Amino acid sequence: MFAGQVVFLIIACLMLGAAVRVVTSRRIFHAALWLIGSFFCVAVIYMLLESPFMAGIQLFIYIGGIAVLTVIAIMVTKGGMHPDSHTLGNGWSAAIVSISLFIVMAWTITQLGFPNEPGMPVAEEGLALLGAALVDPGGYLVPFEVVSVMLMVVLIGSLYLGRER
Amino acid sequence: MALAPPIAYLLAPLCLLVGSVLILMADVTLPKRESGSPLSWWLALLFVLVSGASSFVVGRDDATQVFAVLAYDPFTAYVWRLLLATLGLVVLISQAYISHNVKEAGFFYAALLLFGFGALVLTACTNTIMLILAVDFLSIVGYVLTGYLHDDKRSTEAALKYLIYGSAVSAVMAFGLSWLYGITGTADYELTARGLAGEWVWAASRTVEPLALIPMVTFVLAGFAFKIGSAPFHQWLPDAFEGAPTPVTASLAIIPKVAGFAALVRLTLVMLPETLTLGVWWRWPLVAFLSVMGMFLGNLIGIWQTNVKRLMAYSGIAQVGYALIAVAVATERSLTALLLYLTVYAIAEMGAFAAITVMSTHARSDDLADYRGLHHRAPILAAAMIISILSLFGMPGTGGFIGKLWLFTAALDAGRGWLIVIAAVNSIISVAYYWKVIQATFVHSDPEQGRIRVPNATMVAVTIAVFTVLALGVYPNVVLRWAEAAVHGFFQAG
Repeated sequence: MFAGQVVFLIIACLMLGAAVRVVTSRRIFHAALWLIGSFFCVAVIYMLLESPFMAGIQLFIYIGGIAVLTVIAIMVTKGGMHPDSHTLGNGWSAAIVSISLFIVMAWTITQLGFPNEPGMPVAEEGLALLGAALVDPGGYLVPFEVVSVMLMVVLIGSLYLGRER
Repeated sequence: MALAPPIAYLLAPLCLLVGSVLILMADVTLPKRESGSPLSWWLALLFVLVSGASSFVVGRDDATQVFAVLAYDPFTAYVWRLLLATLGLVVLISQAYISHNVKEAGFFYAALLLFGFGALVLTACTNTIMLILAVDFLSIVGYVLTGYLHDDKRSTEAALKYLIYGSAVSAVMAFGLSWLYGITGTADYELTARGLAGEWVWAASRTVEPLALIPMVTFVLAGFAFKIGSAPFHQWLPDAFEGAPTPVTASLAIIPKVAGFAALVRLTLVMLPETLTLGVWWRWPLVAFLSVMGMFLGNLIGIWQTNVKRLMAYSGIAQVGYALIAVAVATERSLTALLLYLTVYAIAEMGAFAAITVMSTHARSDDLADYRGLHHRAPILAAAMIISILSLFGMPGTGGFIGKLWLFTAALDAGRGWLIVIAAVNSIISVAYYWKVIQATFVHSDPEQGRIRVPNATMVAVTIAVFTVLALGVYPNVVLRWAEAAVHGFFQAG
């Protein structure tokens, strides 16, 4: 348990450091790269929690999808690569919001008293259960289908709005 | 009572979905018609009507869980019909405006139907995952529709503001709901309520300090406040209203608000019942605070507006404030009043926006100054505007009076007299800006200006809206009985 805690502390410090760099970098491109580092540390924490599926999802969706998309978006945006494009206009108000959010969350966590033992037994075929739940009419079939319609709307909508004219 | 197969209960949203796909396909494959109403408009109208008709296929009194995440009951049925009626009127008033301003009408009507689809799903949610999804669905279609005039800088800017604000707030809402999920281990409303009451699904003996969850339910409420356009989460609203194409403004003023209220009522009654400490805190002070904020901010800022669409935005914020009184009280009587109130609100807004749409097609401006002498130039529109505005104010003889009367007496019954005092004070403040509209349309006149031709489809919409508002003012009993039946189910079991 002790080794696990040490690894957790190291990873958590790395994650926080990367997160701080995301907001303090002068170049928005650097911020995006630091964001990838922060996402990666989250994936490691999922591994520590013995949830390889969540770790994989974190890598695929957050790093493989969202972060790469962000990087590409910055590269194709005019002026996105210049050093002074990222200015900290509302630094103080952002700090106040983040700190108060942190206080609220820390207070909530101490009040709730999460149990030490895992509350729910981990199923052997967790992944298969997850897949089945997504297409089970008694599970998440409707949300799954609504997501597909939503993706269609997003595709057509962004094509329509982003078209050259 | 024999129940239909589950898919039958989803006929109404499915019709809208099929309609929007057909419109998209027809738009791409069929040659464009040179004159007359575009085919996509007829298709949209047809599918809204079919969808409305299909909601009568299954029994109104049925109450059942559909596919584990949606609920079909009299409440859902009532709100669906209201939403579909509104959607039909929006399609009617869109026709002239859209063929005047936009080249690609096909996707517009498809998106409008999808907007309706999202609203219908949101109304029926009984699961927090479905709730987040429906809220986002409705928002995303809303962004596209708001930015639809992509030659117009204001429209794009409005869509962008809406997008950034909406993404932030729905992230906050998802964050709040994820805590509830993490603690109870379920996304279902009813199971969440049981979990919060101490009957845990997975950990047998745990107690949770209910007050510790208040920040989290506040985040959830912020999401709702954004969706229904309530202060203090209203900053995006006047800009989106001003920049959006006017028929979209009309639908933004009604559809997300009605659907959001329906979802809020269901969540309040099922997931946070009054037996929970958290549920008590949710009603008072959280929802009551939103209500008071909405009334004051909407009415006080509304006074300074000179643009009709912005004025309607602030009027809407205030109206949401009044309606939230019913959720803060959350008795059977107050929720019946809420349904009646929302019905009258939706129809009155449609009447006003029918006139505003014609004006912004014709005059290409939404300035109140351009409404001068409207009673000469288009008497029908002036009449619709006046009757709608009087109904929004709550003038006796219009539906708005009955709505407010029921709402206020229901709150009084529940011992929330001070909310009524605030609402009454605000009704008086609202005279200041409602009077400006009446003054512009009726008092001044400008003989230089020519008559305005009202498109046939808009004429139909105006007639329906005005007639309904007046009829509800004189004889609200039929709608009231439906609303009573719709709400009764929630209070039967518990």
